Amino acid sequence: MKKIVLILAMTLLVTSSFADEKKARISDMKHMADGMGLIMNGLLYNYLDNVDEGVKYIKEGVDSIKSKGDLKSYLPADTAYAYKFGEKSLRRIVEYANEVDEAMKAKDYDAALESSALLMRQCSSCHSRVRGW
Amino acid sequence: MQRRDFLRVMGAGAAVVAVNPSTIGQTLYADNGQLYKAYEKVQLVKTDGSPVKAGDLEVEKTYVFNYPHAATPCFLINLADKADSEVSLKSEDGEEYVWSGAIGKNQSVVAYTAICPHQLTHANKVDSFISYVPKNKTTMAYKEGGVIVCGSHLSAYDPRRGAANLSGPAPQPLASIVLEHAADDTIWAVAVLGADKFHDYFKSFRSEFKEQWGGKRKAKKLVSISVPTVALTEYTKEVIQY
Repeated sequence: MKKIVLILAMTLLVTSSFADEKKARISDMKHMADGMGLIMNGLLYNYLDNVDEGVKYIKEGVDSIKSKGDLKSYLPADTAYAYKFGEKSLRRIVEYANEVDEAMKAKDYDAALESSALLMRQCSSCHSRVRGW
Repeated sequence: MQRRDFLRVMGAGAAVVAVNPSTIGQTLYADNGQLYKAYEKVQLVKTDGSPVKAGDLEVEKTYVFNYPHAATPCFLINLADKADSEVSLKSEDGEEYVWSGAIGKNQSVVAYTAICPHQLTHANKVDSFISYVPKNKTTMAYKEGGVIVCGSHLSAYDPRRGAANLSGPAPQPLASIVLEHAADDTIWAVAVLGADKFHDYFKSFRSEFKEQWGGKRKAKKLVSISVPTVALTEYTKEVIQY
C-alpha cells in the first residue's frame, strides 16, 4: 500500500512539475507575443509609445526565460535537445529588439519596420523548430 | 592571320562570353545569366599566406573561406568520393542551372556558400549551425551522413550534387562557389553559381556584422587577391550539429 501511495505521489509531483513548466512557458510566450503585437500596432498606426512598450515586453520575456536557468529543461521534452538553437534565437531576438529600439530613437521608422519583421521571423523560426508548424 | 581577322575572331569570342559567361567553363550556365556571377579571381591561401593545395585537403574535413564578400562564408570540402558532374539544379524562382562538378585529382573538392537559403543560418565567428556531416556520422536531417546540414530547421544538402536539396524546408540548393584548379594544384575562387541570397543576408544581420566585422560596409567589402582558408573549427568557436 505504501508503495502505491509513494508511486502516486511521485507521479503527481512530476506531472505538476511539467504543468508548472508549461504554464511558465506559456506565460513568457504570451508576454512576448503581446510585445510583438504592441510593436506591430505601434508601427501600423504610428503609436510610437506602443513600439517602445513592445520592445520592453519582448526583452522582459527573454529575461524571464533566462532567469529560469537551463533552457534544456525549459523547452518541451521532445525538442529539449535543440536548446542551443533556442539560446541562439533568444540572442537574435534581443539583437532585433535593440535594433527596433535604436531605429525608433533615430526616428528611422522604415528601419524599425524592417527590424520588426526580422524580429517576427526570428520568433517564428524558433516556434517552427520547437513546436512545429 | 591578318590583324583584321585576328581582331574579328577576338571580338566575336568576347561577344559570346559577354552574352553567356559560362561559355568559359563550357558547362556552367543558367537561363538568364543571373545565377552565375563572376567576381575577382582570388587564391585560397592558408593563414601564413602559403597556397592551399587541393591534394593537401584532408578528406571530409570542412574548411571555410570568405567569398566573394569579406563576411560571406563558404565551405571547402574534399569529399570522400568523386562528385557527380553536370547536375541540373533549380533555384527557388524555378530557374534552372547546371553545376559542372568538383575539382582536384579525384574530382572531389567542392565549395558552397555556408549560408542556408531557408532562413540564412550561416557560419560566423561565434557559432555555426550549418556544417558538413561526414559519411560515418549520423544526422537528424537525413538518413545518412556525407551531407551538409543546416541545424536550424534541419535542411540537408548533397555536396556531391551541387548542394541539391535532400530534405528539410530549404527552397533551393546552397549557392556554389566556382573553383579553378591550377596545374600547380592551387585553388582559385572565381564566381558564384546559383541564387546566393547575399542581399537578404546583408540586410538581416546588422548587429552581427557590427560586432564581428566592424560594420556592414566592411562585411560587404569584396575580397581581393587571396582569402585565408581555415578549418571550420578554427573559423568558429562552436559547431552545432543535429
